[in-house]
Amino acid sequence: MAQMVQTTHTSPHANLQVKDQSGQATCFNCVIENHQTQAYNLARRMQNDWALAEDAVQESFVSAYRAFDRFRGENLTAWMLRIVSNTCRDMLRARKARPSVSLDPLPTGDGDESQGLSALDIPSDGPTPEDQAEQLELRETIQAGLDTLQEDQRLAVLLVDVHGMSYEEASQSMGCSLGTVKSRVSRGRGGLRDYLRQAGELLPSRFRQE
Amino acid sequence: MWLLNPKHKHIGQDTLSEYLDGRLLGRDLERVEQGLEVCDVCRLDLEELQATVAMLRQLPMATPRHSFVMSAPPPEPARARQGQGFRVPNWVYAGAASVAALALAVTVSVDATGGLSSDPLRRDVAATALAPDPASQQVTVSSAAESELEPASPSGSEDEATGPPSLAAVTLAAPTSDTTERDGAGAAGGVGIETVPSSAATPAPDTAASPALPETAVQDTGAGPVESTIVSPTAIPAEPEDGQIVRGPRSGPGPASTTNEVETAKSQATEDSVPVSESGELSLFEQDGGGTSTWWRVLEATAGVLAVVFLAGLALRRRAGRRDSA
Repeated sequence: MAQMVQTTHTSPHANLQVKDQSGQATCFNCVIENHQTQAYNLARRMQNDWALAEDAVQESFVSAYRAFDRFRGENLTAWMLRIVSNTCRDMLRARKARPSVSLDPLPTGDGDESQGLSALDIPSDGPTPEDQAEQLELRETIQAGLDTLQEDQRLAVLLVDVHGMSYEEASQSMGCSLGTVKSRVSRGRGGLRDYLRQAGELLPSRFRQE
Repeated sequence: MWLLNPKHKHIGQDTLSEYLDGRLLGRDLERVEQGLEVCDVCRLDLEELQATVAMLRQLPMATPRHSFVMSAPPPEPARARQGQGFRVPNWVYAGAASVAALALAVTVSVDATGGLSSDPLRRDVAATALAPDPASQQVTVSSAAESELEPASPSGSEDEATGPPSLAAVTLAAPTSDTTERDGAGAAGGVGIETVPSSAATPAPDTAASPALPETAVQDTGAGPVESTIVSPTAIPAEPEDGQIVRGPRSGPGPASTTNEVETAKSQATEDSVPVSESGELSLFEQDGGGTSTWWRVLEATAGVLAVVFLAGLALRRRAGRRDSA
């Protein structure tokens, strides 16, 4: 089960009141605090670029603020992640249309959480440096395998397997039918399995260390 | 082991994926479990799929390096701020452009036909041209045209008196003069001669059939003998009467144009003599109508400009709408 982040309100923030379609008022900054980690991780795995992921999340929250009066009050997480995924897809298409090289400085290994996939995901205590190196390599392989998937399949796999959404929630977030979600999840898993198998990450259980 | 059961069909990837997520029930679930028991290939597929999903689910959630909490509401998009002045619905632009275009068409057509010109004579021409019998108008016109060469003869006036009450005759005065100008320009040797018959044709019916004239004409003209004085033989070559006929509408519509007030007629005759002798009726009309049609031209131009402005506004709105939807 994917790790679900529970964000608590640790710092005061501006009280930005927004109203959904039914007229119910909500503190939008509370919404941000509760969803920014999921949004950021989804964007980062969709984009495979932390800087672009931050831009995507920022843009997504601005879009959500402006469009909150159209939210019908059903599943806020699915609604937010749908905006994030749409923003990421738009950015990916724009990047494909106009490939460019980022001028941002490359992440350093100083423990800054802004750096790439590596140090971000490594817990501060527990594994040895060797384990950390193995985990880092595995995560990079997984990310590389995710990048080989089609956007829709990648998004479905991320929503269901990484963010722990049900098929119903994923269908809301992706704006498609339940059967389409099942198909995309299955094909995405199958594609990633094939990639990992070729990469030697999938060994038969008798060769695997538990 | 699955080779022992040749009827076994491997479990599909979609089914295995649903089985992993616990979404299979009933007979589907039993069938998958039985297949997994007997088929090593299916079991290996399931194991690999399970390992893949486990890797995905073990991916940690990274914490963003900074919070995305907003300190203030995000500014409105630039397009929205620019578009605040264009909140008027599109149909208003379309309707206004249609109205302006219609007004332009009406003004241009009216200007072309002269039917609703500001010139009273032309207005009356257009208004009364349909009233009398066209046949009688033709007769009157032809008789007037024929009588041009015999200006102001009493017999001509008597002949005209037998015609219909000469609203038609007078209302067709202008076209008659045009045709006669074309027909008899060389023979008559000038506009004065051509135009005199029209004036001579009109006084005669006025004198002879003045009781038959409409009340308005009678009221406007005042008295029939006025025309007889205007069309006196001494005034035959004088163009002022012709000019007076055309300009007459200033003081009264239709037939009244031929029966202007005596004093004004005389004074106008002297005033109009020069332009008429130079340019004839049409030019006089244009000259006179030029002043009155100036505002009409302004009206046309205004309608045209408004139509263009509203159409441009509609086009800009639609382009902005496409940008927003994109």
